[in-house]
Amino acid sequence: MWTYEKKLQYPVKIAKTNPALAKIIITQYGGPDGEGAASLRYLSQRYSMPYPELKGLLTDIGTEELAHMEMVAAIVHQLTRDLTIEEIEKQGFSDYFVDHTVGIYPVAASGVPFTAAYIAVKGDVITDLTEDLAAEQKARTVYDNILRFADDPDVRDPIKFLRAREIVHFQRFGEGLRLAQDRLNAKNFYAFNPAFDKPRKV
Amino acid sequence: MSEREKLLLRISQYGFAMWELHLFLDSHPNDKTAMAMLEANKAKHAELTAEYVSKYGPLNTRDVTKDNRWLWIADPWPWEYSPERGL
Repeated sequence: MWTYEKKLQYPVKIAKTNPALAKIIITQYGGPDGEGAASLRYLSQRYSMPYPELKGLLTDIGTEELAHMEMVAAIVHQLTRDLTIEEIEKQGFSDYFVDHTVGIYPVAASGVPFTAAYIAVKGDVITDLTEDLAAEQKARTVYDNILRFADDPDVRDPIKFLRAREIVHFQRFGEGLRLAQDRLNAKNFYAFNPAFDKPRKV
Repeated sequence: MSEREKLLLRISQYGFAMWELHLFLDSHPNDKTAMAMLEANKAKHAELTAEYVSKYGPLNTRDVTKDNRWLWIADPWPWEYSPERGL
């Protein structure tokens, strides 16, 4: 189960609206490398994880990603606050607006709605952890790309925080992969799945 | 920045330090230094949170009492910053 903390993990306080930028940043809410996909990926993968450290990491990082979804949503919400219909049209926000007004809907920057096809759950320790390492780097790349478009320090500040979290999570998952590999039997040359394949009893 | 915002920021700083140590301890469960740092941050976080809850209302559902229940649903919610009203 979960409980809610009535605060953001890191403050989001944006003074100036910018719907064009909001349409790019929403991709970290509902896009292929977004926080929503990250949370769903880790929280789903933990059930087939045989090692205690890894169950902990997937639960805790999956939980933190929910807090990141909330931060991304807060950024988009504040960038689209109190807009006039002229501003919406001039800044190229009318295609998002026509479907969602200024509500927060999980889509990629391209407008493709969120799909579970963005994530993988293979039920294999090495496979899933390798996916998670890649996922953290992909999200870091997206934040780097967002920073290329964002001039406003009010926006850059929380985006830089989120970018740094990808790096920390990559580090933790790397340690998790090492812990998992240390536990494989020395004769397990091909890294058979320790979540499913059991040694034959003789 | 209002007094409320300043206090919330300090709580978030201690809370973040705790969270970072908590994640680190997932992959380093025997690290005594990290454990001690977590304990130190926890004490300060609890003290500041108690101050916040008594002044401004609950931050977590478990902080809710019969006297502050109405503040749980009170604005502003965490995403509702605006330059006119602050947070």
